Amino acid sequence: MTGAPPPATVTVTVDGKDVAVPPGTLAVEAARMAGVDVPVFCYHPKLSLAGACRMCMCEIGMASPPGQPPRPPGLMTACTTRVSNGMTINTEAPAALKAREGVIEFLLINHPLDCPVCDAGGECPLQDNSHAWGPKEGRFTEQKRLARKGAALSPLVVLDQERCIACYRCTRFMDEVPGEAELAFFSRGFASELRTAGDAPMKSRFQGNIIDLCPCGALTSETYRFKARPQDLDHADSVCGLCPVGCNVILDTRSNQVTRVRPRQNEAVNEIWVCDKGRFAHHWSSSPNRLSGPWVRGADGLHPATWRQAYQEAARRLAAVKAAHGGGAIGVIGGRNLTNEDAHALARFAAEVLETPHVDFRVGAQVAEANPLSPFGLDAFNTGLDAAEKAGAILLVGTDVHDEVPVQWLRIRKGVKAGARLVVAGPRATEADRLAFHRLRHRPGSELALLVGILAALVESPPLDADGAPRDLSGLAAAIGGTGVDQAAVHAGVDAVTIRAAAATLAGARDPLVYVGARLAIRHDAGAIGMAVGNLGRALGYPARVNFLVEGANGRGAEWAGLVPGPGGLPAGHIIAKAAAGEIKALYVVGENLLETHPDAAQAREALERAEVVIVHELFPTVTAQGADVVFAATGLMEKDGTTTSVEGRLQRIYAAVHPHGSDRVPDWRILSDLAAAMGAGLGYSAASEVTKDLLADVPAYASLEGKLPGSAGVLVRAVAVPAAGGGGFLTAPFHLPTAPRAAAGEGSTTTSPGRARMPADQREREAPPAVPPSPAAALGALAAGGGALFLVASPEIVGHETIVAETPELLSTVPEAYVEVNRDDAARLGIVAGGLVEVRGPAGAVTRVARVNGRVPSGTCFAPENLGSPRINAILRWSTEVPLVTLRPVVVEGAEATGAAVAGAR
Amino acid sequence: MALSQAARTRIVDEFIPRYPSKRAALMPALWLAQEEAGWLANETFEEIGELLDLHVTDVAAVASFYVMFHRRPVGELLIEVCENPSCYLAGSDATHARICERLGLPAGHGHGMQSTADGKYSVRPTECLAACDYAPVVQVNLRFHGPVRADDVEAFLDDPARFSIEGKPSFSMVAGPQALAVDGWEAGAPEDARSQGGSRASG
Repeated sequence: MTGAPPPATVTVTVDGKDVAVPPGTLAVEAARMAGVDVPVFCYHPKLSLAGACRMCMCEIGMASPPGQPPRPPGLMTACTTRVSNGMTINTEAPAALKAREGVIEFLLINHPLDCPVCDAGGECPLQDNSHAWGPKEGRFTEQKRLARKGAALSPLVVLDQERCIACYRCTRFMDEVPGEAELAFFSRGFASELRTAGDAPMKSRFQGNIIDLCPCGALTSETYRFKARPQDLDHADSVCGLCPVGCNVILDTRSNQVTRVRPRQNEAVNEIWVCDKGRFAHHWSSSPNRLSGPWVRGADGLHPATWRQAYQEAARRLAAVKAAHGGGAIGVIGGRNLTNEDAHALARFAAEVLETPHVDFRVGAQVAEANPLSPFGLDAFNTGLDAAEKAGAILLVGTDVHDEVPVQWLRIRKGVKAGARLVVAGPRATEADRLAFHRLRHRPGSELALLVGILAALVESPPLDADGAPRDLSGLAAAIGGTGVDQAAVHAGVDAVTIRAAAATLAGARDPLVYVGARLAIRHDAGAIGMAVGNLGRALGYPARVNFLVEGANGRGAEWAGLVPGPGGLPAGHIIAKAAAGEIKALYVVGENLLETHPDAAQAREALERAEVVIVHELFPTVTAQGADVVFAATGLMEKDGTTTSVEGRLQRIYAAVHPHGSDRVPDWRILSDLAAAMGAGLGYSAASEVTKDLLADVPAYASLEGKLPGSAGVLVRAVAVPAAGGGGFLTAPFHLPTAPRAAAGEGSTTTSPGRARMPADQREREAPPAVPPSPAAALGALAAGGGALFLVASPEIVGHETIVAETPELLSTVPEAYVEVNRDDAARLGIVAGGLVEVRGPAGAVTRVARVNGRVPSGTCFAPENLGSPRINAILRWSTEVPLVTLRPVVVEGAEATGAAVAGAR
Repeated sequence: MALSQAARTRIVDEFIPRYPSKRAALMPALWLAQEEAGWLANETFEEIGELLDLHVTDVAAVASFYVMFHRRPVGELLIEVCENPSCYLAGSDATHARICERLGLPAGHGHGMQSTADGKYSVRPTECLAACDYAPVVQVNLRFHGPVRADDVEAFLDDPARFSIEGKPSFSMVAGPQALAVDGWEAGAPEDARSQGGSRASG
């Protein structure tokens, strides 16, 4: 036996049938491969083994060693027994059936059998298995245990402890998958009950998954409770429209309303998970606050109109601008949350009807090129989402993956648990930092310097090639202009030793993976960052394992459909700047609440006010829509047939769950087609499938599909052919790390509003930058000035005060009060207390926020979520290329202490 | 109720290195915290969780598994009356009832713990203490006392030490295995108490 390779398969006999399975397979899975379903409760293929419920008892026999008498088979739990050669698994042996009957009788002793009023009734494993395997009647006549019923574990998940059969699926999920062990069984035996410490509400953004996992109705959804019976629901396969991961979902509807969202299994995308935003934020569709039809601005403001009036009015106004100033005076913004069909229609509408190159879905974008990796012949995203599972190392730059691509964070966690070393670079601690092998806490805005530092470290000690020789990176040394690690480290504000260690980790890893945040792909230095990231991939020997995320549910689809600046076209940020300066005369805004999402609220307001014509497609009467001349009432993603393309480039079909009959809402592609017709240049579409046909024919990324739509799993496509491994030399990035950054002179000297803030918009815009991360001198200067000036980092939280979230009050109630996160040293210096109110003053004004005081942001930096609070943090910011400096001042109000304490405890 | 600096240091420098995983140091850490404060507050769970990289719920759930970890303040004297067969046959239910009565606590409170308003006494029934030869056994702050019959309760409350089982202490988990080496294990067992307990139970 010695020296022989382990067998590729072992043969086991399941109910008399031989089946070959991989070694190490669990008996329960071997049975499944043989087509036999062994009943289970605690076993779940995505979770660790518990062996808690004993439901899967089978009579299992092992082969005896040669020459020995046969061993009698015995009852074993199929879910914890691994196969061996010659094993017999008898799933319906009399002893197994008797054991199972006993288990069911035992489980039902304390189960209330309130199936008629239980949400799980009709889709309940306990119910099904009781019918299939249970005794005809139980012998237990004593009083059942009484326990908590209808107890809120959080505003989203409700517990009925009496129904619980203690299978530990929920606690294992929370501990193992999102790594948030906030739920556990307290006490023991008869008294066991599911609780959180101190009965605090669960905070995880993945907690909804335990509702799916629960096999007995103990955990139910607060928003779906008592709303429907599973047999009364209609189902539509769709894709979640709330982030670019593209989780596959099933939309369950009743009476043409979505009653719940469930994850749909797609092992390449979301496995079987979905985040709480995707699961719970669906009530917007049936909200009475929706726009029910188009609006047109008259002398007395906006008023409802017919579609004909709206089309005529929009056509007349757009035609007037076009006639007076040309198509180039019209800017088109938005489209990241549309279907590909809508995006394609919008791209055609802009090019053929409006005849403008100024089209961009990337709100706030400062660069025209949408794909920072295009110089390398790469797509912006070049690996499948599942690549994170088998990576040797993962580098995260400029992204809080937990909030930006939530379910992909679960995949990254899985990869890290399987051995991937996580290198997290960011100006503040994020959820990913908890699993980080190296943390690179760089100065805000200095991602480029950090990446150059990593490249320089690779030049110092190059990765080894397959033959053990150091790779020749002399080209890379030239590409970064001979910058040294220490020089870059000073600019990044990161210890050079840590940079070297992180680079060594990446260099030594098989299949390393790089994820870069979407914001870095639209920032002023996106080109240089793209160069650095592309060079990093090549230096590591994995040129196509580098990825830029994208914003919006269908950002990638919008990019490929052409909702990016054409030749001579302006990026979205510049479109707004030019509109505010009066150079762009008309704005066509599709599904984008610019006043909340453009990084400079005042500038966005100025642009909308100054533009002669503003046309908006919207679901809700947002503040942006209220400033428009014509508002078209559009349908949302749950109400559309079509396709979307996820961040990784997966084309997926969606089917409308809600049909807009009875309402006066129209899909965006149809609005565009009809408006084009009103302008005398029809796109000629009368069904979504016609747009799909055009899309597949016209967009190069989809050419490989030859006009055929994919099945339910979608299909991963590429806009750019991925080059062979190793391909190409290094490209020189247009970056420089100056010795005296001008940020030091301009902003370090003043602590309140930096001088640039008062420049007119056009001047600011013209001043467009070379990339300059804030220097150590600037940071220290600002702090030394003593006024409390800190660099502000802002990014969206996974769930915020968004219009769509506001329609689900249970979810909205889990959103924290708008806060600013301050380092405890800065807080002490500035007299800021945790939970107290703080005035955050930026270049364009001030907002009040609740202080969170901790060590998650380094001294000299503060963090404020973009999508919390009213007004948003963009109200105090100027659209500029530099990291904003803000001043913090505690707000003293009567009774503030009490308020502060209450808020501090809230999250 | 925060952990003392000494306790934190001991957890980090002594308990954590003792085991292959940080989580394994949880039990002695909890015990140490309880020895300091008398009971375990949620805040303590958080502090221990931070030291051991555990979620506060994990810490609290482990503590909840063991009745000897107190999640509420406990009186200066924690009186635990064995209710298992040997002691029950020796009349421990009457002992328990009498103790409650003398302390002004409602009797028949099931398995729960009751405390006097002045914070001096807490009383609860307990499972077998493995000292059946002193039945009915009463444990006072983890020290065996017995036999304590119903008629003895006044004397017992007056001066519990009189009923102490000399030389047969319980041990501290924190102190480690050396505490198990007990001196005078047999010396302190009063013969007469044993025989009296037996005869009283049968009569």
